[in-house]
Amino acid sequence: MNNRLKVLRAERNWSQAELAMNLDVSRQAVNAIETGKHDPSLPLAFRIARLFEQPIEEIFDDQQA
Amino acid sequence: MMTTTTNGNNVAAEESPRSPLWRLLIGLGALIVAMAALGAVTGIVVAGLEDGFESATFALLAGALLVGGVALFATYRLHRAARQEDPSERSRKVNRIMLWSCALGAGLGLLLAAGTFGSEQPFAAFSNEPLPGWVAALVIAIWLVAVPAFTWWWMRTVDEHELRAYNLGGLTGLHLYFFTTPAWWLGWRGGFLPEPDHMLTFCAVTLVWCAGWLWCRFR
Repeated sequence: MNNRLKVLRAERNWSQAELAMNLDVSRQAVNAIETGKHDPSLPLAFRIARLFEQPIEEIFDDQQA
Repeated sequence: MMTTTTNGNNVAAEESPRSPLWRLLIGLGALIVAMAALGAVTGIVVAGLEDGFESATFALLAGALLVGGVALFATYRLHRAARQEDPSERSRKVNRIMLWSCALGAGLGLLLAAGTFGSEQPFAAFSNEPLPGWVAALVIAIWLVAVPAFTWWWMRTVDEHELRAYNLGGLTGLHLYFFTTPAWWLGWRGGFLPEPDHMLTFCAVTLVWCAGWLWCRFR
């Protein structure tokens, strides 16, 4: 699944570690989501959406490019 | 291009997914070297007490202490770097559980080593040699009570990415067991393979489980 996590994180000038701390996951988890190696669960996707104050579908895109 | 974040971290450097795995492997290597050096120090001191201390004994002791000290310092630096890189409360809890698990594993290893102390067979602790009953009973009790408790605690604490990596590694290990164990057993019954060794299968499954887990987590 494609996502805009890296872009949103860069807009806030956060490191992966800072984002991981905000989401209470490991830095490897953030890296895996950003690179598309791990699709987050719904609860984590909602946490990400709340953190960035955007709807889930604005962050994650299930259309294969 | 490198970007500096609000707390001074380097974004480009931290995005390499391989670096944590390498750090973990180097850290484990350093820990093993430190433990080996500790064993060497013990051996040299025992030999010195039995045969007398000569200048060569002191040189060996100093060398082992130096190697052990450098390995311990490297382990500490890597642990500190990992803490700075992954500061979430959950990650710290997971790291603490892993440290306690390592201590528990070392305790089990020491118990097994104590049970086979004096054996002439190399790696007797992990062989099929008979064990004193109290050692076997104690190790079984820890294995069936403390290890499952730690596993449950760890599984309740880790994030979903790590749990998925652990489950995938476990499933790969289970498939290894599923396919190789009956094949080995049938080969033994057919007379062209040695008798199945349960501990060998256990070690192979554990190795594959851990390799799959680490690969999924750090790739």
